[in-house]
Amino acid sequence: MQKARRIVYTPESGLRQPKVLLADFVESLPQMHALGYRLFLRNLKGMYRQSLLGIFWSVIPPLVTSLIWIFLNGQRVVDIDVPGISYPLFVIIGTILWQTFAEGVNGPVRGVTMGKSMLAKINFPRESLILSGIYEVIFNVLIKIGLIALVFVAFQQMPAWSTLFGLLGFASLILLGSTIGLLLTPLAMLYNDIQKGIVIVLQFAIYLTPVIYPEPKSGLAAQLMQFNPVAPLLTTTRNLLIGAPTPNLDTFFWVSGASVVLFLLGLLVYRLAMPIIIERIGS
Amino acid sequence: MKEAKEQQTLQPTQVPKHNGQADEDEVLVRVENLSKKFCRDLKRSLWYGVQDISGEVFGRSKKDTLRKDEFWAVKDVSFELRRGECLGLIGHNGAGKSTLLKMLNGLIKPDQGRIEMNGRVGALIELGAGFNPVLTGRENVYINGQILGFTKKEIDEKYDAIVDFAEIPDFMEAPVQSYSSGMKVRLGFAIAAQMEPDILIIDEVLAVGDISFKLKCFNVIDRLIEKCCVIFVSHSMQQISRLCSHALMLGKGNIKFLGEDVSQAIDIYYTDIKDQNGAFAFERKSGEVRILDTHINSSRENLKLVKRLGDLMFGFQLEISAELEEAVIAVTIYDNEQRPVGICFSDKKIKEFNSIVYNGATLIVNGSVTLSRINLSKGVYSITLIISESESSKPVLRVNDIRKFQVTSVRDVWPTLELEGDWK
Repeated sequence: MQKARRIVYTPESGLRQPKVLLADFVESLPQMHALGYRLFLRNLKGMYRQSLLGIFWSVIPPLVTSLIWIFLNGQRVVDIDVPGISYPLFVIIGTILWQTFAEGVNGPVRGVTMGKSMLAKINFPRESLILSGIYEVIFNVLIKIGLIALVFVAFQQMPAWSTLFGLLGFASLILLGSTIGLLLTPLAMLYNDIQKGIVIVLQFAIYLTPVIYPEPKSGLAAQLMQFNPVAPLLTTTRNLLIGAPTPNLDTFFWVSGASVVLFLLGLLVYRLAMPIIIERIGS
Repeated sequence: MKEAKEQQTLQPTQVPKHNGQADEDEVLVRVENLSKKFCRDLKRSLWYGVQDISGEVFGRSKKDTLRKDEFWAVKDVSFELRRGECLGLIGHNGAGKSTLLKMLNGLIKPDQGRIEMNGRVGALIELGAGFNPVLTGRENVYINGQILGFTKKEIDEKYDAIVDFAEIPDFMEAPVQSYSSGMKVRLGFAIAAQMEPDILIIDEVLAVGDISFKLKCFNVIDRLIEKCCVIFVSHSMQQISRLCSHALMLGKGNIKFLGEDVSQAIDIYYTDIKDQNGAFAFERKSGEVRILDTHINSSRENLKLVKRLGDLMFGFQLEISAELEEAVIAVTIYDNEQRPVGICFSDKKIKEFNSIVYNGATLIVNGSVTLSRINLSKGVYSITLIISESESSKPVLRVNDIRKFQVTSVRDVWPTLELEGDWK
């Protein structure tokens, strides 16, 4: 059980008492993690106990997308030329990385939605719902990394020393994705337009990101890509994995650093917003 | 009476009262001028939500004026609770009980006022929260336990006790979706019963389950009450009078009663029941019988007060088809939870009452039945009037709730009958 202590509820904003806010947050960290992990296990077991293909579902979507583009490119319907690497390997890694980011975006909203029924009934660290969503994303990524290893063997791609750092790139993609997801969560709990919007934006954002084609060097697309935070993370991670040069390394670190800050900020907003949301979602 | 077994004392358990000289620390719950507003319109409520979130995030305090479509769900509620006290929270649907509980539990923020909770808070608001139906009972014990704030290690230690309490050892490895609803509740309560809170919040969870389970729940709550303070919401006045040392009656968000006199609060609760007399439940043929007038002790108030061991006279005036002159009348008394308490058959036929022939084909009947020295216990009762051709035949007419009356008594007891005895 939690430790005995004094809790005070008032109408004023939690920000008026930053010390209390921070102390509460730090104090509930262990339960947050433990419960988040437990809920992740619950969702995972619940999902796969009623499934034959089980964990393979987490690699099926990127594989299907890859196969389409490998086919289109093979038939010369589209003509995408990637120097220094076979196109199938390029596109499989690309879609897996994109999928990692996209699952990161959906993770927090998904986690909170799966625990929605408890929110209006029980007082528990609500961040654990966010964590349960992110833990699921991490679990799925581990499977995807296994798939990349298999693909490396199949294409006889020798891992470079930088491949290890490429694995860190996954962490950055998850972080960026879940930061965006977390910042959208409060609004998504109130309006379901947000979740519908996320699906659509992600569907076409994949084509504005160098996933199935290499980074354009000039033109409108290249200019647009400068504003796409996923692009530097994705290309850098892919290049690290296959041992290619990484010209965007500094942007990679900037984006990752900003994600960390924004993620913490998102947690704060989530914590402050939750009582107001619970009041409105009922049970 | 299904709860009759549990009532071992005549009077509600009197928890030792505070002697007034202890220090401030003993106050576990302190609520000051608490208010909460809600919005009737969902769309607008969501939009206010967006505004409130931005206010919260930018550190602005909440405004305490009502915006369009808003109303006070709880208004200006203040009370204090000390260890060993049990506060019964009563009120009709929509009185603000659940809103108050949610604020006390920290689920939603107050709009005005202040809540101070000193100690660990345990809430029995929903049993088995977070259960996943596909997973086994064992797995769900860990999920629900951690949601309630136990660590994994604590659940490891308490696991056997939980299984013992739930009494379903053979089903712990089976998926919860194969459980009966009673088994789910048992398991949920077994986990919650392991809590050791200083402040316990209970919301209607005892309404479910079979008798033996309810008994067990009450034993747990009795054990917990000694060490903590309890806020208890129920629509069962018997449970309230059995458990509570204090009562808070809410009506439309405002305090209608607050104090140690639980039985007075219960009286107010019953008096508040709206007038819904005379629901025709059954009529064989329209127009055969018409009720012209009814009264209790010559009074036509909505809720006539009758003293226990006083006489109750139910009078009626009917217009009835002359073909039914051989018919008989009966009245049934129901208690406030719609349980039949007793029935009284008339020993006269319609024609033997004081009646006059009207228009040749109908009779106007003036009659009454006196039930002397009624030994019903304190509470609200209703009378159902039944007219049938003979005692064993189907009724010609049945009117539920034709009159309500309230029995007043010095004692507040669970059983419906407070019998008179000759003790020697």
